[in-house]
Amino acid sequence: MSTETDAFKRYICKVCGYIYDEAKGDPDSGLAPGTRFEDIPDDWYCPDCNVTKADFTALEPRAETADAGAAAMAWSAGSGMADPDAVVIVGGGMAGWALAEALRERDPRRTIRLLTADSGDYYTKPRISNAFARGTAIEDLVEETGSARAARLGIDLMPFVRVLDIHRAQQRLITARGGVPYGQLVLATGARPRRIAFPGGAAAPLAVNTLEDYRVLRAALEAGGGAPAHTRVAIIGAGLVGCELADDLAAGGHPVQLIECAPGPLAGLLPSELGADLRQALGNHGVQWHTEATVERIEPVTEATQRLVLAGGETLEAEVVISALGLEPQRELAERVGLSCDRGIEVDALLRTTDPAIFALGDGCEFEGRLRPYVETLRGQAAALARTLSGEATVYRPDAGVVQVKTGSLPLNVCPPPVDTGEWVEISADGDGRHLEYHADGRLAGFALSGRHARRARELETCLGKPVADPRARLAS
Amino acid sequence: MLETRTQDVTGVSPAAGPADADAALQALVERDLAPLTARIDREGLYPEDFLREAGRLGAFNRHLASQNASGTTDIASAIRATEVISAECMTTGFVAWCQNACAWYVENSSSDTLKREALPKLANAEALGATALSNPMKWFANIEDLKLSAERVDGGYVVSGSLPWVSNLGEDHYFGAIFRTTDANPRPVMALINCADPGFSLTACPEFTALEGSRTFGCHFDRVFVPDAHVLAESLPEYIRRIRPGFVLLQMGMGLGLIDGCLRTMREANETLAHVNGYLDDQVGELEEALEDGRAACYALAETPFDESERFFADVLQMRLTGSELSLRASQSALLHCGARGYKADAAAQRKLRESYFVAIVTPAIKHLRKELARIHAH
Repeated sequence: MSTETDAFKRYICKVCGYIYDEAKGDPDSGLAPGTRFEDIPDDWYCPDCNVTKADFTALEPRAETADAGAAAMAWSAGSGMADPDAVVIVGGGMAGWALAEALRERDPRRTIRLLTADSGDYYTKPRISNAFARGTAIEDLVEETGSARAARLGIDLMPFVRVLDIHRAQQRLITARGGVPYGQLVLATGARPRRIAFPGGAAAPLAVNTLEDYRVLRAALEAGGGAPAHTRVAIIGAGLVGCELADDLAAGGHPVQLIECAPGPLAGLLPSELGADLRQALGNHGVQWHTEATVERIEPVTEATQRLVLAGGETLEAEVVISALGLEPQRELAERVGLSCDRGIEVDALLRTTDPAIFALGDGCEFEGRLRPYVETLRGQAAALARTLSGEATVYRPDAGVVQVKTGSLPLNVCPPPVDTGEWVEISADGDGRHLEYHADGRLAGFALSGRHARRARELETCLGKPVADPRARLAS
Repeated sequence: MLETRTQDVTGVSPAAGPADADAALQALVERDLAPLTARIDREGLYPEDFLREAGRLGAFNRHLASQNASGTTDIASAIRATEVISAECMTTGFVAWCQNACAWYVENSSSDTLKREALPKLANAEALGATALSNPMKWFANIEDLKLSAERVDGGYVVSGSLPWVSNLGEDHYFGAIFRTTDANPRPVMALINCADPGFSLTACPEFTALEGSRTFGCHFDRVFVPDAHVLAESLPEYIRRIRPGFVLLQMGMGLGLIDGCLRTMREANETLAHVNGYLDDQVGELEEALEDGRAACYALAETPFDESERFFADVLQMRLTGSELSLRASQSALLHCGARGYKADAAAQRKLRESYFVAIVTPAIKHLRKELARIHAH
């Protein structure tokens, strides 16, 4: 029994949230102030929703959410959205940020607004490929948060927003957070992993293209909880990402199987000698190769394990399956608004699309009929485009297109030749790598370097297009 | 993907669709609804005759591929219909959304019985329907517990519990409800309930600030039997992922229509007060632009109502949030544009102000949306 000296309590209706306060009672229903909850007759009804006393419970105030205040405005349109002269960049990957930074350097005052579907946190994608064996924590891959970078560069960052449409005539982006006007628009929408839907009923293989993807991969690798040796990895596709991840995860102790439909790794890029070297180097690290092999089905075996069935009937099992089948430009937005696209968003020498107010750079754009999804390329494009956007029309001149393959067991630097009229010539080969050159019409048109020779890439880049000595004479000397 | 089957249907020109349908609906709104708006708002008059007539005109079947002439899931067109209604009277726009949502549940359900018996009537408003998903949506967002529970019995469930206020109800109206089973394998189940089901009762609600004509009642389940044939989906998570973008997108008709109505009020006020209204914060031009941006984004999202990704749903929630915020801005500006004339008890401007708060608090409310967006975008 309660006495009058007990503090009054409050009770809440579980159905509608009405609060019965003993101190106040419910005079409209004949309950005088001070009426204890237990003394309320059973035929009393909640004055707001008519349920009985049985639907009430003692009120326990909820704790506040610690960071709700900061979160509250993050999803709401900020002020300053209305600068019609703004340069608006769509995409917060390396290309978008490189341009924002280069443009801010040249023009301290212009409004630069960057829209990104993720947080805008800055990381360099190539580092993802070799973070595992080095034990790099995911948080440490973030070099700077999006908000810190935006504040440092004086850029209006709109994170977690996707562009749904572009009203080109009004120069306006349409987003779920409102319209965003632009003076000049840059599409840095990048590329995404090409995917194949495998039959067999297993979950879709993981693809690693963003930090978020990588977070998911790391969680999957650690899901078993045991030593890496107990978590087997199957990687479909021995391209750049497939080889780098295979090398990194094998070095980190995982049993890795690498499945490739071509006869060797990086088939379109590497001369056959280097392909064989890379294959051997990864094999020495424990990577098991399945070349000229295609995956027909992926079936669940247990909750943790999947079985890959290859054409021909061979099967292999893995706890983590990764798809590394190359990249395809994200061009849906550009296509939607009628910009000319082939494989990527087509741009001219000024990196302009077919709309003179809209530009594109990075992995999503196609220049002179080629996609160049490389870091060197986007840096060169960002530098040229920053000049153009700040009033100094600057033609983009592509770099030689040296591709770095960051496989720790055998680093490679390859400059694929733009022509196919010449031949690969081996300049030197030893236990520490090879130096191959592509000679066409007596001139250096490309090169492929591995191991300790890889570091000569810069020097050879300056020799591209120059006459080469007769290789036989050089070999004889 | 949007299920576009227009090409298969001969004699239906897509170009002749929405605009014509809206013109007829607009005329009906002006003729039958506008004279009642103040009574709906202040006296709680339920616009039943208007709803039935709008249903016959095809205002509530546009998002139901199985029930409309074009055979398409045209969410944008359904939103536009709700906009046309809400611009005049948002109470009616809200019950129109209830009707749309109820039919949407059945259209996407696995119940052939309901698709045969209830859906055609819901699609043309011969039957009226409601959505009682406020509590479950808050349950999904960890804001509330489920308020209905059910025992598994032979051939169905026996449901008990109470929901505080559900709108667009009447003695033979349908609504969708989610209850939690109390057996050894507790799980949420969603079913279509009819207010005439034995054991179900409605009780009056306290008087609300607006939306009084929306027939909003407390719902009490006292061992209501729900046959298996009325279960909308056995596996609720998949079903909810399928219906939730459409559910939220269809709500956009309320906010967009309300903003449009506010703009009309502002333009009227400016005929006599433009010389002073120019000093206000939100001008007609800015709000018109924002409304057009909002419409464009909303209709773009409406192209893919069956995109079940979390990323897409985040865009939908963001859109809904933007709509709520813009509704508050527009209604406040409308009242300020009108001055004292807008403060009269039967003035459209102050009614729209009260209606706009409803857009901002009806589930998902602004705070609920921001909480969900924070969760989805957190690492």
